[in-house]
Amino acid sequence: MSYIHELDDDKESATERIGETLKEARDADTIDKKIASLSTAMHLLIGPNISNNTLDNFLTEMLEFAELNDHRVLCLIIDFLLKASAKDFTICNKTVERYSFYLTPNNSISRYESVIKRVIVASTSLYPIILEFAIMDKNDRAESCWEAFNELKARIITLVDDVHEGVRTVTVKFLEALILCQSPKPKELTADPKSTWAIEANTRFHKISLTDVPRSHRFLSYHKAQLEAEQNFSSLIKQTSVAGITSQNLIAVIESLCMITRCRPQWENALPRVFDVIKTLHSNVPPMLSTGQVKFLRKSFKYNLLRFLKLPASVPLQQKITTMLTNYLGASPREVNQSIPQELIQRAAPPREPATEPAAKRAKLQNPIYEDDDDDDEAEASTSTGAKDARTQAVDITSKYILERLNHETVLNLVKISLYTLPTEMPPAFASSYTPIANAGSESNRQEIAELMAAQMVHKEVGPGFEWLQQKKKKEYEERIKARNEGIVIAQTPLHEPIRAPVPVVKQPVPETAKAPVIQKAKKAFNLVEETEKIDAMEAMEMFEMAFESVLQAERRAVAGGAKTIYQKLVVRLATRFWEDCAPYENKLVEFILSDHKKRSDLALLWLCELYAQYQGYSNCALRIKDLIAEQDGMTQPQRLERYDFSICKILDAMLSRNMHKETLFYKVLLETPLLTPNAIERLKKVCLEKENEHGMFMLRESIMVRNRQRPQLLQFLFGLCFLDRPELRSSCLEVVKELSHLPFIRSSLCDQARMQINDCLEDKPPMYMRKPDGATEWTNEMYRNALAVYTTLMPADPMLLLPLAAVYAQATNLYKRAVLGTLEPVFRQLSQENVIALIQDCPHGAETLVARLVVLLTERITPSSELIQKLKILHDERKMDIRALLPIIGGLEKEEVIALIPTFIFRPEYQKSVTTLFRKLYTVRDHQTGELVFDPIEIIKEYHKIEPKDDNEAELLVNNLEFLFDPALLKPDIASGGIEAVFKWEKVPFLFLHSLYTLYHKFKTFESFVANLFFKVTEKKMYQQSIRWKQAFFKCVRELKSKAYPAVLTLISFEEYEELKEELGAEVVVDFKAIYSTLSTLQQKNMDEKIKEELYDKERENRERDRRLRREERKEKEKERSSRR
Amino acid sequence: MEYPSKLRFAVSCSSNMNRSMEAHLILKKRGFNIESYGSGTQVKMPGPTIDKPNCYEFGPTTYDDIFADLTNKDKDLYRQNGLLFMVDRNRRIKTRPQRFQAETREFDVILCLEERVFDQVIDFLNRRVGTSGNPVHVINIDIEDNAEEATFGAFFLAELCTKLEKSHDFEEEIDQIITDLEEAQPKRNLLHTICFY
Repeated sequence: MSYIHELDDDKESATERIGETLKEARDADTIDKKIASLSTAMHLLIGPNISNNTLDNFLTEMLEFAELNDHRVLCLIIDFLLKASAKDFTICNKTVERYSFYLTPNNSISRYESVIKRVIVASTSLYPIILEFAIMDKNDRAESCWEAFNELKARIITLVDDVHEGVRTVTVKFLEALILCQSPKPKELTADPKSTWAIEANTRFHKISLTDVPRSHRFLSYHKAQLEAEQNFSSLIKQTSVAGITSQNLIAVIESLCMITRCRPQWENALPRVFDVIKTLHSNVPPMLSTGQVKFLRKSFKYNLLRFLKLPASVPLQQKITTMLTNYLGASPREVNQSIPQELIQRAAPPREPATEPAAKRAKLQNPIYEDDDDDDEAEASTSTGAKDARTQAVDITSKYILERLNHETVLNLVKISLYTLPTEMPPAFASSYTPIANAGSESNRQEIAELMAAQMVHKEVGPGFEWLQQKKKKEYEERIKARNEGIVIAQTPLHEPIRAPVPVVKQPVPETAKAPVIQKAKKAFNLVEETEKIDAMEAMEMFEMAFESVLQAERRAVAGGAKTIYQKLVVRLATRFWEDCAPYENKLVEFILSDHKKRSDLALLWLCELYAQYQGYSNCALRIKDLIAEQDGMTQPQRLERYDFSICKILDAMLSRNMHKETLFYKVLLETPLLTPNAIERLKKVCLEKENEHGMFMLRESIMVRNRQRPQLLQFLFGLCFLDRPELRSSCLEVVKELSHLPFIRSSLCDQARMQINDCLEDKPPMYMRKPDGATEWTNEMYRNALAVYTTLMPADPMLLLPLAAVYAQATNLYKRAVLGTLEPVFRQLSQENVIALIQDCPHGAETLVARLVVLLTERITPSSELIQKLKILHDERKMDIRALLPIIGGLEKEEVIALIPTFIFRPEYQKSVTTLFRKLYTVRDHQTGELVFDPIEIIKEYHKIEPKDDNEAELLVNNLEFLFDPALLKPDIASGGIEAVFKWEKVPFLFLHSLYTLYHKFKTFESFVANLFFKVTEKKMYQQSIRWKQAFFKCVRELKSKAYPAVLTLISFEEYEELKEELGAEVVVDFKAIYSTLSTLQQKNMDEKIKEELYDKERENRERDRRLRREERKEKEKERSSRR
Repeated sequence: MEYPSKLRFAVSCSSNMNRSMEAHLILKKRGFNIESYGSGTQVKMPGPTIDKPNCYEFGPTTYDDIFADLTNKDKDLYRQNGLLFMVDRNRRIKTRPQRFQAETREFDVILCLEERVFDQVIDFLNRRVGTSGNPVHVINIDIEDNAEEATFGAFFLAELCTKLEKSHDFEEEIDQIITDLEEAQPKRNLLHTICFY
């Protein structure tokens, strides 16, 4: 990549180079070439000498290549986005958005699972970048990015049990990144980066961790992040015990767990827990692993345990790890000793400090009551550690029990029993784990065996340890029940039944009480039942209102504590479920949402979703509603829908009145609510009808894309906008249609809707949506044109729409037909031959004119194929179509047929306009295989002259159309002259010949002498004497040719004919004749008719010339005399 | 190319001289996307006696250099034991021996031709600070270090690579492919793991 360095000082040329490379990628004809160019462009763009601005400028262009729908290109784009995000944080938002999109499986692209894998791998690398972005940049952009990434994260986490092996593996690595980034980094690692531990813990995630997140961060909850990491660590540990886990995944999980342990050995008790996992796995190797896989698994255990020995945190476990390594994993004592750093060898094992755990968790552990709360995720997290500790204790109890009984007799019995149950073949897991133990029978060995057996027994749920564990759980459960019975307040899930206003209510549990840590002693001293008094409805209502208010105001603290979702659920339930008329609370809620709508958009959506759920009967209060409905007492489903509709409009109206419709919330309500009611669409219409309506159109487009179920309705709405008297609105609608038509999943509904729309045009009266507000009830050209506008936009992308159009066209009025031909002409011009052939085949009766027009437009661009010609001829013959329909395909007809067609075109008045096209076709049409002219022009000229007119009218038409026969734009001079000469050579030359002569004279300027010559020959042969038509033609020719014809006329015709000619042309012609006469040679003059000569002979002029000559001679004689005298 | 349509294979023995080069040649002929490496610290070749091997540094030394050096030292001996022939073949495949640990390129599958090499490769991949995070499958197949076994082994590798290349999603099928091969050839010491770049 030396060129990158060459460009260091020349940013402009770098930009140019990127542009060129992208162009190359676009123009390349294979995917491989495209990828090569794109890869170069990527390296250039992320190079250090490219500014973030330039990167941003080219971003969209790069992303457009995703439309190639190739898995390798997509992988490249995913990598590019990652690198771009690392270079410029502001791109992160885009990256997360694209990753979320690419993560959705797409069966239309082959090997798409590789794209999903790449997204997960890239997201793993993106994790620290996003975290850094969120920490450094505390603005809204970073927040939305973090939120979007959290959603992506949640989706990726679910892939841990995906069907694809590769996807599962990379997801495990993603979890590793999550845990490392969201857990605090030990101080020691930062303090001494060269220590053995720091070297062991050096990963690509060491730069950033939870330690870097300030406790007071606006949107990053330290606590929540830590909790998430803990949960995922526990779930990763659980993965190792999943039945049927494959070797590849097991290895990935173990390597990840060991990596986490090396980096965070004390966090969440990681080291002992992971060591336990290894121990358990070692004695319970998954049964379906093959010999090689088991061998590798043990290799991995050994390798990782040796590395654990280098960690200071491993000192308390040093003995256990060493035993495991030497006794079971085949490590030599030397190997083990070498792995332990000097400074860790002699250190005494310090007791495990429970104080290292966060204070909050300690409180939780001491308060098992919290474990009962379904909604409290914190409690769930703590149970894993709590349960684990109990389990270890259980193993210890069993181990003690076994150790007491591990005497010679019992062991002997066990061996005897085993002998009967031994398999015939040694299982691979056993074969590889079998190692002779040096210290067999010693105390430490007995202890070790007891522990191993105890772990197995607890795992199989037998033995005193397990019994103790069960007892313990039972006792805890009973304690909770007892506490409840005694009236101790334990936070319940909210009451889901709506309270009817006048009914007295039971006192609500006050949330504050629930949140305070409860101490066992206090519980017994305070009996709530005894302290409780009934309160009246008014009081209850006031209290409820106050509670609602205070809950609303507690938002900041709830969010900071990581309880945003729970908080939102609570608010929504309070606002919607407890009263028959919830309007006051809902109004408050709307105000509350709008006062900080950016942060509270989720709350708004949750509220609307709840109302929708109530409408559908999905909500938790559905049972109550069911009862009420059964008693015909409550709101019916239409009423609940009305309530939902009213609420959605309430929030939209509130935003419209405050001119907030460009805010994200407006967009979200339109896009993300479960159902868009017609009234809500009306609100959208308002925005779309505004002067600057880009935002409205954008929302409409997105809604159409997102809302599958309501798509027809929304498309109908979009199409309806085209009929309003607003050209700019129409064009933006069509823009939207065009954009949507590129999306395969929308195209079909778009086309269906468009078909329905043109079918509406067959109605007697225009449907309501096509009419203008002033209400013209008759069809107008404009209405038709508007109705066709969408079709015009869609048809270029989907030529299959042609047939439905033809079907409508066939039945439609002439006005509509004209509108179709006019409006869709640009589209028709783009249709391919196959489309036209398809239409010809299935041409509905009545659509023949459409076919004819299409063929004309097609043949203007390309030579028609023989198939098209044949099909059109058949259609023409079957349907008796207009003869002009054959013009475009005339090249494909037989010569005889064409020659027979010529007189029809010449003589029929209605075809006169097409004569010019006829000759143009005849002269220019070429064979599409040989490229030669199909018809010989000379032949055409000859055939034309063979046509016999039946009457004067036909003769006149024949003469008039000569103008098109000899069109100099189509005919070369030599061809024209060749044609006319051929005609002249006939035995019987037609009268038309003379007409052709002067036509040629007018059309071709170089033909003067050629024409004069032929005319001379005609005159010489006295051809004009054959018939009256000939004579008329002769006179006409003389008149047109003028001076070119006069010499022949004067020298060759008789005086009678001369007189006739004079009469025909007018007496003034004599002047011209006289002028010509004087130029004639003496011989010509001599051959002329005497009478003509006499008439043209100019005596005065002769006298004048004679006098002049005499005077000249006199002058000469005088001069001679003078000179002789001298 | 960074985004090839084929799988990217790497094969590694200890010195990038005999086994990996034989495999390189055969796999290249069969059209695979293949590179070869050595994972040892030096290029080691038999010398006049067992305790005097010929050692060369990875990196600067080319096969041409080795060929010239061996010819210089004892042309007859090295011709007779086939070393000159081997180096001559190698220099027609690529310029110089390459050390796996010095390579920054990423592969989909790395084939190691003895367990020690496999351990070195895994240790290297696990200890390095990660870069892209892309997964790579490391497979061990034991091949004895002599000319004949190298050829047999290379055909075995070709069989394995063909199966992997033909599979629709090799990550999905690799487990089965390796287990099947392991059953067919139990002495090859087939080991398989996944590492991450």
